[in-house]
Amino acid sequence: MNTVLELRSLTKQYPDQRAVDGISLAIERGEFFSLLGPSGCGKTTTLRLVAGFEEPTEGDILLNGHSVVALPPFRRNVGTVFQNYALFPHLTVFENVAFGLRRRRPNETVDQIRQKVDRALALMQLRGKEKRRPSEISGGEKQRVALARSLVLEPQVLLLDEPLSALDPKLRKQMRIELKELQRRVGITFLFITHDEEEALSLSDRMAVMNKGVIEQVGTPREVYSTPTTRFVAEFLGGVNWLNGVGIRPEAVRMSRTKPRDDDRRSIEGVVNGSTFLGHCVHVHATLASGIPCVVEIDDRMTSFSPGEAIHVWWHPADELPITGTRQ
Amino acid sequence: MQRLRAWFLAPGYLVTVGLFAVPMLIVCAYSLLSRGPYGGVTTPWTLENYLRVFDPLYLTILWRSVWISAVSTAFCLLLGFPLALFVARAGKRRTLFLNLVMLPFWTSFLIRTYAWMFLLRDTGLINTVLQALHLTGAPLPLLFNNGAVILGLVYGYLPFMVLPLYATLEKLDPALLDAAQDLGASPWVTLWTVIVPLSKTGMMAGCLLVFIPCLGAYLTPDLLGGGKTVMIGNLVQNQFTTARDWPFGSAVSLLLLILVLGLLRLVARKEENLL
Repeated sequence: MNTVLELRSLTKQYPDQRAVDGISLAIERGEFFSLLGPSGCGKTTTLRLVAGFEEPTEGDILLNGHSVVALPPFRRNVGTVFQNYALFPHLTVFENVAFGLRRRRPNETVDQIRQKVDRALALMQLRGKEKRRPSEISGGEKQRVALARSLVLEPQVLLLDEPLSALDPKLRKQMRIELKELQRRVGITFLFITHDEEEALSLSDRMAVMNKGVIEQVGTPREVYSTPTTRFVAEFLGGVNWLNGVGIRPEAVRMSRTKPRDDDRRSIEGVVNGSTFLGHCVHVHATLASGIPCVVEIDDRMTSFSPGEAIHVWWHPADELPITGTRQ
Repeated sequence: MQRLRAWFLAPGYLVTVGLFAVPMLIVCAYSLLSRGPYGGVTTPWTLENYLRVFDPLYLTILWRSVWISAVSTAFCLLLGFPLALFVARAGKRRTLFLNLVMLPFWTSFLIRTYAWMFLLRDTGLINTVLQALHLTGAPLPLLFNNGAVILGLVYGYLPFMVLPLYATLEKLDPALLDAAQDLGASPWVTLWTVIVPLSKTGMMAGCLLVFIPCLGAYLTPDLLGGGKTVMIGNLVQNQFTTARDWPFGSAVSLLLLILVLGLLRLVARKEENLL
């Protein structure tokens, strides 16, 4: 295997809390890897440890097989795209992108630097904005300058700290596509930090779900979504119904007015409370016989249920989530 | 509503007009009159007072005031910048350090200047210690020279440099410093390429706040300079007291005012967001 970044029992203890609690991860070269978790789960601390802004209390960080824990950030070959981009307000777009080259490649001539910056700006479609200041460009452009500034140095790993969260929703979706496309083109390993499960699922080759300083599960988005191993992962990625003690996704639960006859289908009776229209589907909220709440995703064009109606919900045993972990 | 507004503004107007504009006009008028035989002013009207300023004797004083103020400002910047940076990065203890910077204001400037005289004079603490340790045979001439005046000015006006610098540095986004290091800049390079350029406004404000009062200082050169280091402030004071030449004193103080206003204009044109 070609591991570019490896975390070994990485721990960060603050006086009041253990932000990162012994996590181990191996990230492959060229991979788009996401670290997903709620705020305060330790994902940003993990990023800051990898970048070198924080020192780990215990554990090791290996870049290309060599420990980098003892190196200050300016000697580590990783790049960071910050949440609010952290562009230098006193420098032009060109100077922002050239900043790293001037520091890290002291032997390059002015022309070589100019060429590299021009190429990076062209890649990020920033031609013509060279002389602008960060205050004079749009949010999406700032984002692209931040990416160009880090990518021009061809880092071993590019760390992205919730880079899309400062954009408005429409631009965010567009940048998501551009980001994936960019990563494929430049072939640099991306470590993407996010609290948005949709971003993690749609962008990643593999992802890790973090909670309270530990990694709950690592896998491809499909694996993590359809076979979550812990209750936290199941609930954080999409909704879960807890029926007869097992977890089932709202889209895997069926609903009908009559009791299903098929034997290998499991069913429970209930009453409809109401429904929420979500555009591409409808979520019907029901209370089941034992008082358990249940959400069922249905296609509104097929059928509709009204509040107070008696219904049966049922599912295939194959759709039961295989939660084995003991973590809450 | 309109009347209420006028009433509230009235005290401010009264103070500004009565205690600033009117005295200024009196000074203007005096500067154009002649010296009375027993002090005071008398006719005829004349420009003589302004022409006298160009006497080499007074030009020397003017030049000395400018360079001593410039050197003091430079020292304040040199000492104040690291101090302000330290306070801005001190986290929870920031308020404590900020209060320490302002602590000297709780004592009269006059008393603090006297304290320096006690420290610096031939039989003062510093010379006594140096001699006791046999580091020097005779007392060092620490007091009554340009150096002592600069020391006093730097000491007195350092907080005026630190406070505006602190205000700028405190607002500096820490992510920018992370970003600079991430892009390969060592802390030292980060200081020169990011922190210093981004605190330019604070530096300009601090330098003005130090340079202007230094230019008009009279207490410090009087006490620590011992009458040997005469600055514009001393010249003005002298004309109104010992020399009893009010018209000339008025002319010199107006020239000082013009000098300061000219400087402000110059800086304001360069730094649009400062003033």
